[in-house]
Amino acid sequence: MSNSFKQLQEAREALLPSDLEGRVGQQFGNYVSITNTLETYVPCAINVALRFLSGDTGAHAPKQGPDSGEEDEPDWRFPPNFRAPGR
Amino acid sequence: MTALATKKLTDYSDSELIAKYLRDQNSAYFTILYRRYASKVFAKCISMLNDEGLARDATQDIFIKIMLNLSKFTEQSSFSTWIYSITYNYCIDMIRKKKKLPMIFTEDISKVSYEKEVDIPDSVLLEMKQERLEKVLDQLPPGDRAILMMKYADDLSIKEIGDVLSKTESAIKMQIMRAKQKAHSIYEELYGDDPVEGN
Repeated sequence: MSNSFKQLQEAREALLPSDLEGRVGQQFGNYVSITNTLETYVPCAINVALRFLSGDTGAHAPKQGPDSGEEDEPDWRFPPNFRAPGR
Repeated sequence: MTALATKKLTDYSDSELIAKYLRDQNSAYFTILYRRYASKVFAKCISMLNDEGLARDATQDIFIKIMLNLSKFTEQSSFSTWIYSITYNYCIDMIRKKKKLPMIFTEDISKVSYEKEVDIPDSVLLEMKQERLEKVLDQLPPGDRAILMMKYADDLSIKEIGDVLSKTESAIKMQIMRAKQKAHSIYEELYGDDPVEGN
């Protein structure tokens, strides 16, 4: 049943700006992209900062790649000291 | 199966939409919730903040807050009650920051002589002309305005209002009674000489 409170409420509800829905969506989109960026980069930045603070310059980190000094993987198809016939 | 397949988004209940949004993160589900409640939240913000511009910004912030906290909605109360609670608390925070005064309810402002408390009949407020009611509400503390709007505009039960304001049912009953008394005395002050509605 309608009363003066409901009429007042309805009159105010009708004033809702139509562009607000778009603004809410846009603000949330901005929030999500900022959050994603932070989630991606902040852990890396913290990791680097912690290593820097702890004095770890990365000199003792295991080397990787062709200059890593590691021996080549043995070829398990042939026994040790195997010589190919004719060599 | 066909019934499920043809069910429109608008046919889903609040709980179904929340579950779907949390599972798929598809904003279409939230848009339906927004369209269901935005006008009510906006009207509530106008009631409490007395400013359309502030109410617009508040509504925007409130919906972002709702979106970000949707996973915390536990269904202990209805979704509408949860939304009203967020709206109420947001507006109260805004008023406190702006005015730096904790004047939320009548009892915060004046020490009314509670021994003489009289329960004003609902009809006195419900039959007030809309423009007059608006002026009377404008002069009430925001908490009283909110509580009267929840009771008479939203038809919330005493328990639901208690859930929104985090107060006991007896405290709510008392606050409604005092808000009605205050509203009546403001009405008498403003229109005591012209009591006939419509003149």
